Amino acid sequence: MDSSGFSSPRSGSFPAGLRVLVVEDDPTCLKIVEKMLKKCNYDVTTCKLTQEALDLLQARKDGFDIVISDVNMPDMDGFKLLEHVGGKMDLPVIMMSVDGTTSRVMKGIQDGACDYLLKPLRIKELQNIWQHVIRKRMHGARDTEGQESLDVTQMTRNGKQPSNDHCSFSRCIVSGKKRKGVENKCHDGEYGDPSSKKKPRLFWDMDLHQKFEKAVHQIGLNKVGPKKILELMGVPSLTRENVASHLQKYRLYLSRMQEENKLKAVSGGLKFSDIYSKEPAGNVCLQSSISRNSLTVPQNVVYVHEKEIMIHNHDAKICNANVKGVLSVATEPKTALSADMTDTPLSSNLRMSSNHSFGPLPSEVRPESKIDAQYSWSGGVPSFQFKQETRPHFQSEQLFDHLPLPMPQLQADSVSHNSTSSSRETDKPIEPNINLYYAQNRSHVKVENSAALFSVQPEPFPCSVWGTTNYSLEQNLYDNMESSQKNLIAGIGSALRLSDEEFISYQNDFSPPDPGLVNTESVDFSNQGLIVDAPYFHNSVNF
Amino acid sequence: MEVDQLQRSFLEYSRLLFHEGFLDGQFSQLQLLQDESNPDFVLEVVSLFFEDSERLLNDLTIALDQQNVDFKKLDAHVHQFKGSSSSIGAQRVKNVCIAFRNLCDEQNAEGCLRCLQQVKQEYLLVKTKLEALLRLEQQIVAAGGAIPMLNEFC
Repeated sequence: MDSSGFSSPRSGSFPAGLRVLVVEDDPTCLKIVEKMLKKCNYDVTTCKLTQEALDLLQARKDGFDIVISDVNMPDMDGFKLLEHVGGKMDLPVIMMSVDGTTSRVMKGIQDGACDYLLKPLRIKELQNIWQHVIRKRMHGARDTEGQESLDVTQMTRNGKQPSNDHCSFSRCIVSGKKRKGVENKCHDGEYGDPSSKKKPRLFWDMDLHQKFEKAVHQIGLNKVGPKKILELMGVPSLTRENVASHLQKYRLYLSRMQEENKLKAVSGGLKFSDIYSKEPAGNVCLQSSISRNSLTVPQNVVYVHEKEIMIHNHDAKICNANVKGVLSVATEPKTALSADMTDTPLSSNLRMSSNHSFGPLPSEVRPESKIDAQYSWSGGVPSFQFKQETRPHFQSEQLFDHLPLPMPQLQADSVSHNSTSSSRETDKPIEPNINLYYAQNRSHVKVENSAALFSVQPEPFPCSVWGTTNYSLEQNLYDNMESSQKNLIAGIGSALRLSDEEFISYQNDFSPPDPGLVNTESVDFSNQGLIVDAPYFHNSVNF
Repeated sequence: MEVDQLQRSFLEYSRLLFHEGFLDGQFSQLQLLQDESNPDFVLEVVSLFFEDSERLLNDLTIALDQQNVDFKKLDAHVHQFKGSSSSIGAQRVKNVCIAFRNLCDEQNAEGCLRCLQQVKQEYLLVKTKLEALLRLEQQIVAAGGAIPMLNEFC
């Protein structure tokens, strides 16, 4: 495709010549849609079967700009087509159906459809479908260009936002499930070649998420709807669908958090309001002494959305990371992030990564001593280990050097349930490699000297979440970190986003790119893109 | 007949059909799609609709004739019929389909049978009327006139 995306633009201007593939089994409807599209000066190809459409798409890669498909196809569910097309081919897909029930529409959107049209179609609706093509391109470009330079730009960018110590959603909204076509691109492990793929994903960066939260707060979570949020946010390029899916994740996250909090009876349970009470300068004080047993995550609230783990910097809030998607910052050793919520707290918490089970932190993690991290894992909090090895390292050294605050030390020890206080070994410095991971197709940033950053101490620590596309692991780390540590991390303020699957599966592929989090070996962010806002960390820590 | 007379008849008849709910705005949309490049578009689509509907109605009859009615399948057919009838603008047919689907959900075989009768009836009605309307259209065109747009019903 050329830059405009249309290989054969008609003599008219864009969007004339848009190459549309229509998949519809009803001959009457097909004829009508075809005619309507032709009236819009689009280039129309029709298919009566889903399989036919898939074959055609395969045969003519890049031969189409957008796909419109009926939901009820005889040979294959229209949603399956979404998976294939949206997921693999990165084409915008519009669903259409005579069935407009909310649940169906929701499913369509969640599965990655750019739009869901109700039959009978009006020509006006079809006239504007080109917007989906453009949007996808735009976001794809943002995606790809963002990834590589993320560590650099993030740092510099975030560096300028000292007040943004809230964890931000990672740049990508991650929809953890692979089957979620387009939305899942960032986390599909198909990151091999970022430049060649245009990810249609919208980056929910910190700013955007803050706007979102603000809007939600303004309206009230119960009354809020994507449309209202969209209006309040006032971001022109944002679509209702973006907001809708984000809102859903957010809600899921919140409900998990609440559930989590109930379960955990941790004193500092993450409260919704806490999450939202952003305290700008809050997490700067990494040095805040947090009593061991007080779940005070200074400013970081870590929460995991269905797919995202966000750690907000909150004053004295503890983040409870829920493996399943909510990170609870366990102030107590026992309340580590539980990987599947089944394990006791910290130990399993580290299993946040979707693909990794965060096993006990290997003791390899040793914080570098550059920074005297006073944060430590709360007793029994398993220390996280970050896998540092193979990932590009985020040069945390400089960062850390700047941090006057003691760095929480991540315990390199097993994330065992704090059954044994000895497991705490919180005082062990954590491996300096704090990996800031980016999505696979992004550069991974590893924070060196993470150890310096985090000293595992038996204190509750703030969790700072870096925006990443991968989450879990970092979340885990957070949970296990003492408050002080968390504070430190909180300073970083990036939101970790854990994709749902990752989170739950806790496989060991995930390595959190959290400066404060040390990757355990088991954690391997292979296909997650954890984006650590190094600069953010930098700044938030405000040294 | 004079062209304008034909055209007036056409408009009157259209309004009647709209008024009685046989057709809705979607039909006007189809009219809008017709142009020089495709002067018989409406006729073609309507013909397709007739063919398709007859097939569907047949399938429905067979499905309901079974000992053990497969309501899922039945629902799928009705769903499709609903789709095509709404695309064409055959409002009353579509409405019966909606009721029909509810009965399928309830797995009410008797109710479905009654509904099937009803939908057949509505279909035949709209078929007759559409045929009459299209004949008028053809006459207008044959007499050298343009088909009046049913904009008011869009």
